[in-house]
This record gives sequence, structure tokens and C-alpha cells, in this order.
Amino acid sequence: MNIFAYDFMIRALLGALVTGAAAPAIGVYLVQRRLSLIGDGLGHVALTGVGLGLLLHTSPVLMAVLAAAAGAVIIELVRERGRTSGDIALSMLFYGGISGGVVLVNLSDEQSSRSLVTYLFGSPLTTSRQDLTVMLVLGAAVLAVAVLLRPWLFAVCHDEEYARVSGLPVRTLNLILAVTTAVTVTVAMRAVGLLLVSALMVVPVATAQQITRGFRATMLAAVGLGLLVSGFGVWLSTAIDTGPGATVVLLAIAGFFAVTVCAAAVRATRGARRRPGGPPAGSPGAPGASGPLDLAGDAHAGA
Amino acid sequence: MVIQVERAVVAYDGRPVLDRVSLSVRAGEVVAVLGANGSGKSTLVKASMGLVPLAGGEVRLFDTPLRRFRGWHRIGYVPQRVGAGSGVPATVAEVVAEGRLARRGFLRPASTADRQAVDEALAAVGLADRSREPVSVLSGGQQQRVLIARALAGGPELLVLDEPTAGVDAVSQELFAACLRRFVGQGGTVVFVAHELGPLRPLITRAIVVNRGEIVHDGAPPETDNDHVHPHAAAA
Repeated sequence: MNIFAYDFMIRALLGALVTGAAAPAIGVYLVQRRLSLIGDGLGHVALTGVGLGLLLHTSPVLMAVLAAAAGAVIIELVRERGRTSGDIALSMLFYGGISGGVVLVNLSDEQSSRSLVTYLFGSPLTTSRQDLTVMLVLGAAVLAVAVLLRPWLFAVCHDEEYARVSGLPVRTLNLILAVTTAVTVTVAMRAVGLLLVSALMVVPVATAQQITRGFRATMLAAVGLGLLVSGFGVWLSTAIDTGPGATVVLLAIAGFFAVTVCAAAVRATRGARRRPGGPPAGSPGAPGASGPLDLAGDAHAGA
Repeated sequence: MVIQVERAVVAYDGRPVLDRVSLSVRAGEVVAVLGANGSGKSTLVKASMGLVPLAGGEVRLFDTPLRRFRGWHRIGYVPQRVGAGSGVPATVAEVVAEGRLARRGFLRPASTADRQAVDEALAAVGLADRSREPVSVLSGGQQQRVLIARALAGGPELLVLDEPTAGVDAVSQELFAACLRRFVGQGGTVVFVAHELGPLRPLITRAIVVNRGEIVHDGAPPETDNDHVHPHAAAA
């Protein structure tokens, strides 16, 4: 059976791939900054935008972008102040966002709970040609920011204090990151749904960083993983008739555990090979050789 | 003047941490800022870099008021090292490359000069062969040297270091001292916060002791490492 003979399947697949690339590309910065769950909160806020769009008969996607972006800016300003009461403020924003969305959708013409579920859990098979165009344009914008601004965004997320003394426009960069995250949430809305967006921002990054050594490598590997699980997930969900968003996310999580187990196994075998017999694992005269660096130490000792 | 702090007041939640502190650093000086925990010594250095808002007073860097200062590439800053547990792995070279951003135009790709500066800075701290390794596998002292390489990579005139020797092994301390000696030999200015002087003692031209938000000593370095902890001894 060739399910990709249908146009709607092609659109679903393309939409999923755009999401699979864009979400981890921006997610790597959020994980770096330990804001892994921010995408989740922005998804909640975006729902109010969707509700507004349906109520006012304007584009729900556009309104979702605006609502999520406004939410992202507020979150960034709260974070910047580092107030302890910030937690409470964010809770208000997130739960207000999702409740507002539900009520506004109820008030609109499309008051069915079906359309609500569509936005919350995604519905790639109903992606229209117009939807796809919007996703491609926004997805390309997200990728452009994530890739072209990498040295600057990395510096700000890695060591904000140092970035300040380097004279970088720290606040502007933070706001760019926040708004780009909001746009990513909206791009992913169709493919995996607002409640699962965050998973695609975080899980591929968490998987990749177990086997990578640098930031750029982590970003590339996470985007690769994101493409893989979203493409395969959409196909699998059609084959076994399950929700595409949830299938994609479960695949990503399965991948995380598979890589974790493999990485641990590789480390264990390497450790075991080094300890008994084998080449001298650091001659008695080299007490400093310990940890991952003794690979190089071994080479010298063996030479 | 490289750094000029005039009657600076810093308060956290209404509690004064620095009380009308004044300090001037001239080009070529090597100044140690000493004091016990909570004395305000780190805050003084952070305030002079614009990292802590002033409730009063003024800071000038290279004779320019902080607000209008744009020559950040002239400063190499080494923040107090926090745990290595950054969320995502980063290679040594990636971290040191941050040091070039003050000189690199926005959205410009890294030039050959940028890459060369990173290599040279890593060589200067004895980590040339580690550039592709994740920072997290290095020892505390080596990580500190990575941060110093990052500060050197921008080719600064002033190095500002916050507790650069805290928890650093003897080898790294010696390498660090050698690095500073070279930097000072080329006409650089250094300001650093420290608990104890160790191998840096011979380099220092001036010591400042901070106690309870005030400067209680400004002049010759203390004779022994224990002096600065006791303000009475330092003032005597």
C-alpha cells in the first residue's frame, strides 16, 4: 500500500518534517538555558489565540502566533527580573491561556470539541495547501534564526553574564529567542498539537546530547532525529491508525531510551576493555591519567 | 584611567552591599581585590563591569561613563566558575569562540583571524590539544583555564577575573600565573578577586581589601595569605 499516493498524506508528511526540523533547532537553546518546559506553556497561551481567531473569523494560526509571541515576551521579562513570584505569574499565564482558549472556542461558531482536540493534539491529515505554505514559511524563519544566530544565541544561553560584558545585545537576543519559540509552537500546532509541541523541542535534544560532544553537533543530531521521528511517526500512525502527534512523540521517547541504553552499553564495554589486560591503561608513572582523557594517554603510553 | 569607580552604592533588596566605594585602576596595574566571603569584593568588580545596577555613584571604563561605553572588546572578563553542568554539551573551542564575539560583527561568519585567535588562546593556557573535547570532561582547573582562554581570545587590554584561583589545582594555578605574567608583560592591566594569592603574589602591584562593603586597605599586598581576612590586621 502506498499511502503517500494521496496529496493530503504528502502535505501531512511535509508539515511533520518542517516541525521535526524546526522544533529541536530552537529547542536546543531552551534546553541549554534549562527552560525545557517553556514550549509547553507557550502552547497553552497559543490556544487563546486560536480561540480568538475562530471567534473573530480571522486566521487562528496568525492569532496563535500573536498570542504566543506576546506570552513569550512576558515570560522573558519575568525571567529577566528573576523574581521569586515569577513562578506564580507564569502559572496564571499558562492556565489562563488554556482556559481562555477553551472558552473562546466554545463561544465561536466552531464550538465543537472536535476542533479543540485538533489544535491540542494536532491533525496533520487535515493540513490544507494554505496551512502548509504558512508552516513552510514560518518553519524556514525559525531555522534561519536558529542556524544563523547560533554563535550569539549560544553565548547568551551558555553564559549570560559573560555575554553582557562582551557587549552583546543580550535583551534583544533573549527576545528574539522567545518570539522564535512562540513561532515554533504555532508551526508545530498542526503536526503534533499544542500540548505535545514541547516534546519535539526537548526530546530529540535530550537524545542527541548523550552521544555528542559539542553544541553545534547536538543541534545537527537533534534536527536529524526530529526529522526521522516525525516522518516515520506520521507514516506509522496511518499504518496502525493512531493519533499522529502522539505517535511521533512516543517514537521520539522510544528513541531516547534506545540511545540511552546503547550509550551506556558502549561506555561499559569501553571501560571493561580498558581495565583488565589490554594495553596499559596509564602506566604506573602516570597518576594523572584518569577519566575520558586517558584515551590519548594510552596512545602515548603504547607508542 | 582604565577603571574608575566613584562613590558607588549597591544594595540588594534594600540591604547595602557596597557603601560609597571609590576605586581607580591605571593602565599596567595588577590589582588584587581581597576580602572575606560576603565582604562585597565580587560585587565591587561586578558593579564596575555594569553587571550589578548602582543605587548611587558612577563607573567609568577607559574614561567613558559606563552607560556610553561600547569598547567591550578591550575587556576580557572571567566570571566566577559555576558547576560544569551546562544543559547541552559544548566543546572547548565553542566556549572559547564566545570570546571573539565582541570583535566579530553581528551575523558575520567566523574569520580565519577568529579561529586563529581561539587556537592561540588555547595554546596560551596549555589546552591546545583539547579544543574538540566537551568542556564537561575537563577538571575544575582546566575548565577555569578554558574561561581564561575565552577572555584572552578577544585580545583585551584589561583582564577582570572573579575568583580565578578558587578550587583550582596547583598545575593550573602555575599556568594561570604564567599566563598573567605574559599578559602584564605586554602592557595589560589586571583586576582580580581572590581569597588567597598563592603563585600570583609576585605579580601584584596593589591590593585592595574590602570589608562590609567598604575598602579598608588600598596599597601594598599583605605579607601573608591570612592578613586580608582580618580587617584590623590589614588596617594596622
